Amino acid sequence: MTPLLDVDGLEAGYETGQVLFGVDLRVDRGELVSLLGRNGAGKSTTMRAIAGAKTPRVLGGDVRFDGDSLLGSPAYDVAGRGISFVPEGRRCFPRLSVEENVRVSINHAENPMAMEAVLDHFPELAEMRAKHARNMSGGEQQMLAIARALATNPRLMLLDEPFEGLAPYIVRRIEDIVEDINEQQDITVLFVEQNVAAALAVADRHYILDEGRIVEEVTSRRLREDETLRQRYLGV
Amino acid sequence: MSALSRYRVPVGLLVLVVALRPVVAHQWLLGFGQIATSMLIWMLFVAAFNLLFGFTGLLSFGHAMFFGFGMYGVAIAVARLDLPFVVGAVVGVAFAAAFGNLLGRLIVEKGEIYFAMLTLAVGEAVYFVVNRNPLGLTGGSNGISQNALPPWVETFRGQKSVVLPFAEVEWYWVVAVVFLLCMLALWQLLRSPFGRSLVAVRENEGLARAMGMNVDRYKIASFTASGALASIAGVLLEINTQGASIETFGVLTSGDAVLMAVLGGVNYFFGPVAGVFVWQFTAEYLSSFRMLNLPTTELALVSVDVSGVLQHWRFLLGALFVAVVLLSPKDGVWGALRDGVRVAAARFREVRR
Repeated sequence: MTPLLDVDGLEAGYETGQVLFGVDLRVDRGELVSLLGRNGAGKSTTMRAIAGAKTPRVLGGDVRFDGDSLLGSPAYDVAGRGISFVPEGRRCFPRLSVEENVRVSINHAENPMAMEAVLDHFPELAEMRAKHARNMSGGEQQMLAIARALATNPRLMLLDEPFEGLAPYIVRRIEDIVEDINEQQDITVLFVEQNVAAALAVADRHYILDEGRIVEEVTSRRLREDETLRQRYLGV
Repeated sequence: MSALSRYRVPVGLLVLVVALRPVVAHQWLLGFGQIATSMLIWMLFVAAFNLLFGFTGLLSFGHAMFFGFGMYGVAIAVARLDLPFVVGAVVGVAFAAAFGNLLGRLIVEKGEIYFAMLTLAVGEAVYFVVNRNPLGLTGGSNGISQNALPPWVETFRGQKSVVLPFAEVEWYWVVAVVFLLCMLALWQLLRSPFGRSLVAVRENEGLARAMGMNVDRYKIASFTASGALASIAGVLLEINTQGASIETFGVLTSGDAVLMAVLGGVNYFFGPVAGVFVWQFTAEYLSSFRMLNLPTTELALVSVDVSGVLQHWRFLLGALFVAVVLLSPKDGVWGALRDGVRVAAARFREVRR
């Protein structure tokens, strides 16, 4: 069976130089996979290339979603095919309310979830529907960013550093949400992380990216036990 | 209370058109009310500009062309081709919308700064063409001033009125009605899912794309609507100034729209309204101010001739503009006013408790 997401020898870069030198990774339906690596390893670049962002420029290789190549498709088209991307930095539309943020998603998706069904996963947000995103805490904004991605009812969700800079108890809450989305909504998730503990808590399988290449593909068990591996590529 | 806050924009607009003229005509302020008509027209123009700038995040440095299209549409139809006013108005507005749409298709995907430069360049090109008096239609640098009013507008001692079959209505009220209708349409547009999507584009374009939004299509639609609305203001301006003048197409007009919008506060629906009011009121006030009498005009102990300084009112307004931008570039006068009211209300509640 073809994997849901198949990244094959992906090379990409910016004007300042090439960043990815042949990234290979596969994510099967229903999986929850993490992409680990140090700062500057190319994690975000990989995600942005998959999502069809304006930068980086893809130089070679292929990205296939359910067998079809995504290369050359603009971001809105990639989203239309069922991939929902949450960029890093918990981006929301600051001057729109919680409901409006989610509504924008719903209005532009082919097969969206209902507002209430989305907010069911986020009781915290359901209590602050009219609040503007700019007045919310970092953790709430991250939840809203995920809620917005969920609202499009995607088949694959890409999360770029969803736990970055959040307090430990909020990290745990977001971990729960991601697992919940994966299990209950049957949405495949690929997320980028530097925080090994959070990755271990959530994902079943991990790719390690170093200097623009996938250097290891490991199970949670190996990642937990192999200290030299963690030292070498992740510095922990 | 909730109904009032829900409809505060229509109520505010209504209060504005009713109160504007008596307020500026008050003897302590300007002492004459004619300027209120041109204020409303400019408010509509700047609000149309701000649909694009404040609510979509696209800075157009050539918005004067849309203002001019409406104005010249009417002037050419009435003065040159002997066509009814309505034909000129409809053609002018349709042309502005079509031009905005076409230009939008060509340039919206360029980056912000290129968009601004390209609109500036196209605006200048349009000015150039109009200035060349093609086919003898535009009157070149003289504009169109002869027979440029439709027959149902009467002027008497500088006061215009519109003669309808059943009544004669002051020109101000005709402008007020068009202004109200257009501003309400704009308000509805901004409240709609379409308008919320425009704000999403402004706030974070990349994110809007990632969520499946075809951002360019929204920008083009916003540019089209903004151009059409600005040209309606131009149609009104043609009657107000009894003709069409080439300055309307000039880069200064475009620049004034930017300045007024920023001065008022680009993030707010009423920002352009506040910006135009402050700008035009200050300009008029300063340029008609001659003698500073202290302590009062009736009992002047000291009289200073300040006309030499105040004729440079643009400089003073420039200083005001700089102050506003330094204090809060997106909130402007209207934002400051809102903050002030909020703080005062909070104080008041505290004191009462």
